[in-house]
Amino acid sequence: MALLLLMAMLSGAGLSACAPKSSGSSANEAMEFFAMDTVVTIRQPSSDGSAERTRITELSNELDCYEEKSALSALNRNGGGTLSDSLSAIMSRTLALEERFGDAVQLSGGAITRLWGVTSDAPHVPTDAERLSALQTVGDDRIGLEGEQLTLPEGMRLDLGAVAKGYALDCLSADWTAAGYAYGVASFQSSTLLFGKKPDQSRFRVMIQDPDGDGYLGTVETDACFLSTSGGYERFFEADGTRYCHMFDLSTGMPTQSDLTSVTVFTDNGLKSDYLSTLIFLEGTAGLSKHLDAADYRIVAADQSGKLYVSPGLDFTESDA
Amino acid sequence: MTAPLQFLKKRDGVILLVLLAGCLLAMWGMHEDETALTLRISVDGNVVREVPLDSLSDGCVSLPEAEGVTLRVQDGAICVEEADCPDQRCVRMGWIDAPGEMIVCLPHRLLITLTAQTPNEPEVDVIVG
Repeated sequence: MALLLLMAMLSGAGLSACAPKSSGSSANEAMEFFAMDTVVTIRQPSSDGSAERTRITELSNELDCYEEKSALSALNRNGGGTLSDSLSAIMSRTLALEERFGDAVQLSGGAITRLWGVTSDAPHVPTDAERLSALQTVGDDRIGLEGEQLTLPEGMRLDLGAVAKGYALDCLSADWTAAGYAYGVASFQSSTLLFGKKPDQSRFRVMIQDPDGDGYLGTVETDACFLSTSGGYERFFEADGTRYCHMFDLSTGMPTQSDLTSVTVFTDNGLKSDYLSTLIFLEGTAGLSKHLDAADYRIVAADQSGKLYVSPGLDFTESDA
Repeated sequence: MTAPLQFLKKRDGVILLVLLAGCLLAMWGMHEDETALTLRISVDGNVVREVPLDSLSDGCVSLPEAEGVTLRVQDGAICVEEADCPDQRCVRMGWIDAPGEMIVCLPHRLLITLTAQTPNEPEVDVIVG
């Protein structure tokens, strides 16, 4: 009996070790390129990736407020103008989210982000006077929007950084649905589209990096969805021994002092996952409970003490220490 | 009654040994599979190196295509050891040693990725954070 058991155990172990990891034979090569101030990775067996690249590059050229030639920069320079379909969709969808979630994330924080330039080549700490002056221009409730006509108050600058990547993923998802593709993955590092069903029918596996080291917080298994991660460790700069995050408290114009170190949001649309990961990060642990219980999105968050917060219903496996 | 039992035990031992050996072999095979990584380095979208990671000996690697960046290879892992970019994000990303991991340096338009040499469905679809 003991022998049989041992044999079964050993052969089981041997078999599982020998089993091929998957039967997929499709070339599952990823293509990568730079856009929207990050790296884009596309895994789409049904296409060579050129259509995706064109689509994202076009959106990047339209929505990037740090690119002088973008449509958004022109609106900022001219104090408004006629919105393109993309800009119109982004604005109306984000303003609708603000109705529900408040004003921690706003589109009109551009003067603040530009002043600090955390993600620019020359980040610096502004004077209090500069900061307070820029702060006067922030306020999404003062954005003038009549149909496609945008009017910005004096000095207001839009920065769509918190939602543009998510919106681009929404566009890709729509393109892939229209093309009838069965599967695909598109990632901007901080924002990802997991589309359709994997060829081997298994669930998608997402690994979340540990903001405090080389390892991982854990793995999430999920069906098709959009997800976004926000963390101060991604982009920051240091001056006089203080670390300044790229996300801002728009009530003070200062980089956020959030007590969270990483927030990942899983939901059914890209713009919303992008918006929410930033919002939840900015709100910190004080605002977490309502997000953990939300019906239409799931989160994984970590705070400064390393404590993890995971929505019930999310298939999350914590990494071993 | 003792003789057949003793015989069984002997046979037990032999089978056990054979199975153990088989198991170790299988694990060794699996281990090798895991470490068979392709290192791909691209600068501004152009691939400048594509080699098995284990073909590089431990030590520094500098890139003529990305001046100011020094990579280090050690024990099947690679990192950006030094870079003259303002944000030092690439340096902070630390070591990578698993398929799907990547290091990015936006100022240098530098991308360092590790992929499994056998192009299976990816075990991990995306690494975020």
